[in-house]
Amino acid sequence: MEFDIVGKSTPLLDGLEKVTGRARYVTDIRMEGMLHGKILRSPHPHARIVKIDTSKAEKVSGVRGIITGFNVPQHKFGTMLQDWVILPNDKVRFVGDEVAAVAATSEAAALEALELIEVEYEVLPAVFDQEEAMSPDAPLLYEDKDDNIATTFQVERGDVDGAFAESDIIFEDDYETSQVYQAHLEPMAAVVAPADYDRLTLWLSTQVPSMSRLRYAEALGVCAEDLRIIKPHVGGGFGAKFEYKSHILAAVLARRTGLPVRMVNTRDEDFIAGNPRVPMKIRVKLGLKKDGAILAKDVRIIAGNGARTVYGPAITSTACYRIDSLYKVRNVRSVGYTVYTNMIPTSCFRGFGNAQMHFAMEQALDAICHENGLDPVEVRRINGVYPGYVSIHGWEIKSCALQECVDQAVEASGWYEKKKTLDKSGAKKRGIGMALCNHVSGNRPFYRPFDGSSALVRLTPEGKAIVFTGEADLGQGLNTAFAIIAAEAVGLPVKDVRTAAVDTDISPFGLGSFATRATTIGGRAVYEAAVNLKEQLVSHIAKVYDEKPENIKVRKGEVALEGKGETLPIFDVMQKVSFSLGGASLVGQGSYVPDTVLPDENKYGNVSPAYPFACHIAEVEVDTETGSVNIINYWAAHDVGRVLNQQALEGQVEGGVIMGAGWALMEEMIVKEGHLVNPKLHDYWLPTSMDTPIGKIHSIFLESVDPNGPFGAKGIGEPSLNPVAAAIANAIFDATGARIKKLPISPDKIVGALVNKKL
Amino acid sequence: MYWEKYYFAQSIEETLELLKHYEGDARIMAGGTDLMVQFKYNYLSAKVMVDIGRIKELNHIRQENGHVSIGATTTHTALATSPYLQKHFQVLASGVRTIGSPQIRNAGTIGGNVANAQPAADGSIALVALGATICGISPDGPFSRPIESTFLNPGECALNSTAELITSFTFPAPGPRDRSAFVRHSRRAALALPIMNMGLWLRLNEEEDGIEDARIAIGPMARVPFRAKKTEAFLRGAKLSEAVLDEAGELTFEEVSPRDSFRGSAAYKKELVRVYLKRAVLEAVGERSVGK
Ligand SMILES: Cc1cc2nc3c(=O)[nH]c(=O)nc-3n(C[C@H](O)[C@H](O)[C@H](O)COP(=O)(O)OP(=O)(O)OC[C@H]3O[C@@H](n4cnc5c(N)ncnc54)[C@H](O)[C@@H]3O)c2cc1C
Repeated sequence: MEFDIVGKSTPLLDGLEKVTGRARYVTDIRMEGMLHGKILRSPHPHARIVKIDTSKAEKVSGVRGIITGFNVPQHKFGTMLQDWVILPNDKVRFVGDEVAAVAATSEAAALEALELIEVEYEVLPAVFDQEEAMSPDAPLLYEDKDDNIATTFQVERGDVDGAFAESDIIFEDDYETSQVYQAHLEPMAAVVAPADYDRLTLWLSTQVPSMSRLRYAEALGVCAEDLRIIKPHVGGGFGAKFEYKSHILAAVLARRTGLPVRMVNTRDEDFIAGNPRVPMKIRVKLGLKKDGAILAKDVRIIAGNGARTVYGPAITSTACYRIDSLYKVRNVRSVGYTVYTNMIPTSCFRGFGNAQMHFAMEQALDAICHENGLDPVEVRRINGVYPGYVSIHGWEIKSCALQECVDQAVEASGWYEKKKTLDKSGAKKRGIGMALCNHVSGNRPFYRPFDGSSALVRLTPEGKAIVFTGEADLGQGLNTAFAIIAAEAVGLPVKDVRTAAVDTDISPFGLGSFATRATTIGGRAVYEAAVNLKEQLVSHIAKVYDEKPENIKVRKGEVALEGKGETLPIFDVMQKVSFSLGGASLVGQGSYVPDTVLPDENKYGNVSPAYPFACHIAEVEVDTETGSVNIINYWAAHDVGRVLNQQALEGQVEGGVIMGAGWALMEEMIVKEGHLVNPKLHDYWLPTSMDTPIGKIHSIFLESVDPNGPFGAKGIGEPSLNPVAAAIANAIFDATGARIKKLPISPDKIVGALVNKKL
Repeated sequence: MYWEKYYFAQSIEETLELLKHYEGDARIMAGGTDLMVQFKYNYLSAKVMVDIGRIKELNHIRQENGHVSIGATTTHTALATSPYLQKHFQVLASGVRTIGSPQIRNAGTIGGNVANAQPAADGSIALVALGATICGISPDGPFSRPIESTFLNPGECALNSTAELITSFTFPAPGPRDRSAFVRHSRRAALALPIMNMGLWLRLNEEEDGIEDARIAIGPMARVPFRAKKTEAFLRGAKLSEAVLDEAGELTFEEVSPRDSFRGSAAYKKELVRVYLKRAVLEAVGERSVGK
């Protein structure tokens, strides 16, 4: 197929306003009479709230409202479990837990009031490690529960014990992944203003506008229609920006005071009370045939949920079994515990549990190959899934270019040659490592009522189109992708199409940006809407110009009337069409409901309409005397279904690789007795541009043309990160013989492993 | 804001007058890169700021009468990009080149770096290796003393920045057989305080195959910038060879006693010191000058 826009490089349509500072984010919003909200947070990891005295704080000039657990309703609600309250009046459960909130005419007054709120705590014993928290004598976070296990996920298929008995190779090892911060540029933020009809308008920095609306309605005891959510530009989310406590506190304060309330986290608050990645302890047991074919897989995961549930349980279940659609294993058993601790609540982070499991699984395979003299490329080839494969859990792989990803990455990197020749003689040793990955593009059980999306595309009397969607651009380029899809499908230049900010009063319901779903599922809805618009357009042109529909061609903003041998600009045509309809715009509407199924109680059922795949190869240089790791080269071959926007895809891959490298090598939330030691960007070692292998990340895209994605496109956001930590770990092992199984692979751990002592 | 009044002092005299007038309520402000952080987190407060950034004579790099003089408000960027320092005093030019980020180096000054008295301040480590003298003016008149005497404790300086002004740092002009180097290890390539940093100054012997004199400063190994005096003594008179450098590294390893911190454990810091001592010498003298 010949495309005018799809497959080319389209600069992000909002790029210029962002780099010139004109783009407005929630944090930029200022309003007449707006109050500043601030949150009093617990200094203790676990304590009983004996008394809260706000009398002194109330006297601070400028204070308009103070809420605590003693003057807000105490009903429970939550994202997955009912373990949230607006503010607690019984206990605090982590350092950073919300105790009270103040709204005042200035930030300084709000901060002064916070200092004057007197809270009497009775400090309780606390537990920080998720495995220790499972022990029967660990302090209980929720007294109405028998233990600290929030949820247990279990799945078993095939004959696992039988398959292990038949295996030639049995491998078992433990891996541990870390809690890391998403480090979005824009902190967690909300501005909430009372509106007419007793409604509230919430400007949110969120990746899930419509879902937040449902949840916040529940929290506030109103119906969803009473809340209008607007999502302007968002400065990054990476999984952090789901339902968030401070948004609710801002809403309560706005209602109580009758004034707009701005609630923006400081960076420190983001660090201690955001929702970082779920840390996991993963035990993997694999049984294989002599040639490396995997017969059986047994996994046990203990995941840290933190002090209340955000999406930890879903992330643990993903880690338990999503990877069973990467390799053709037919006998699997997984158990995953999501365990409460007196730590920050954890949640989604690019990769959603699958990234954690990739760190374990892809290292395990590498170790197995090394120990048994097998070729890691071949082993992955014989185990990798293929088009038409149906996984043991009923997941249906339609498009799949996994084998081609391996071929291309191996070829481009010169894998076999490098395996033989990389220099390991000096103190600085080179190595090369590989990891594969799979992911979803949509996750049916995430929002139980449905998965799917709908969109509107409106063509104005000037011949310009506006896409309305409920899916959320977070800076990843979704709005541009939607414009590309609509422009291509209608026949407009991309500059004449824009995507409107999400506003729940206007936009369709959209589940939001997660599970690498928005381009695939949301984009397909935009495609359907655009096709619908095009049909309407052609039939109106046919009427107005008295031309046969089959003779009408719309391309690049021009309308060819082939019967008449005339070509007209879309502007002229739409003026006529629109005026013939009383000035109407044409509105195309489209929906996409994937043919996925909600997994049954045994977790069987196809969860995603499309599955992206990738093969990553890292080449590193390790300074064995200091432990420093330098990424020399990185190849990322991705089956993206179809390239919609070449440069945006490259951006996603580079971003994913750098973020993954930060997770692998540098980033660390250092916690002592429940207190985060480094809640500052200066001490939290996120890679800077000086640390990134600029120009060394080679993206390779394979187009398997998925039957469900728009123009065949699948998602890229999470797959670009999933295999990175494992690929780097494997390369470090190749270079040095040091196998680091606990993240981060910090320099002290490498040197320690090499000199055989703990540093 | 954090203060009530903000002065731009036009001269050294005016600075001292202002400090005297406010009797401890006024504090010197140079680049503000340490101060603003300290104000924000309430580690420090001051009613009056006296900004010394516009006083021309405090901002210079010059060689005079057998000495080099560096003005207190010279920025890290100016030091790092000075061809003169790059040629003759690698330890200083490349030491301050590692500080923070371009923005921090554009604003931050060498005087502030020393006055802030952190045991691993990159500028301080370099100046200690150069055996610099700190020159200034206090209410009692001008003073000059060895730089090491100003460091008392982490963040605690013998100099009182509400009454006294550092004007410059001086050290001997370069000799033909003088060499120096700065090495550093951190968890990321920019915007990261060091896990270990080391400034090294050497004078080679006449034959240039051995070391006549040495000064080694290492951070953060003690409450103040650490002088590896045992290693220095060992190197004085030693011939340049791999074996000697290995032994020197071992000695440094023995003589430092760092503490565990979240940036790195004591054991890891010691490992680093051993490795980097050797690397620093090799960098200073050039790999080829060292015999097997
Ligand atoms: C993000 C960031 C990263 C950083 N990274 C590093 C790093 O990697 N390495 C490093 O060493 N430092 C680092 N720093 C610290 C800082 O930049 C340096 O210490 C800087 O040199 C301080 O100089 P200044 O001019 O900004 O001092 P200011 O903040 O203006 O002053 C610091 C102190 O010195 C006093 N003072 C300043 N000048 C004089 C003077 N002439 N006489 C008397 N007293 C004086 C002030 O009163 C104040 O107490 C970093 C800082 C930041 C914010």
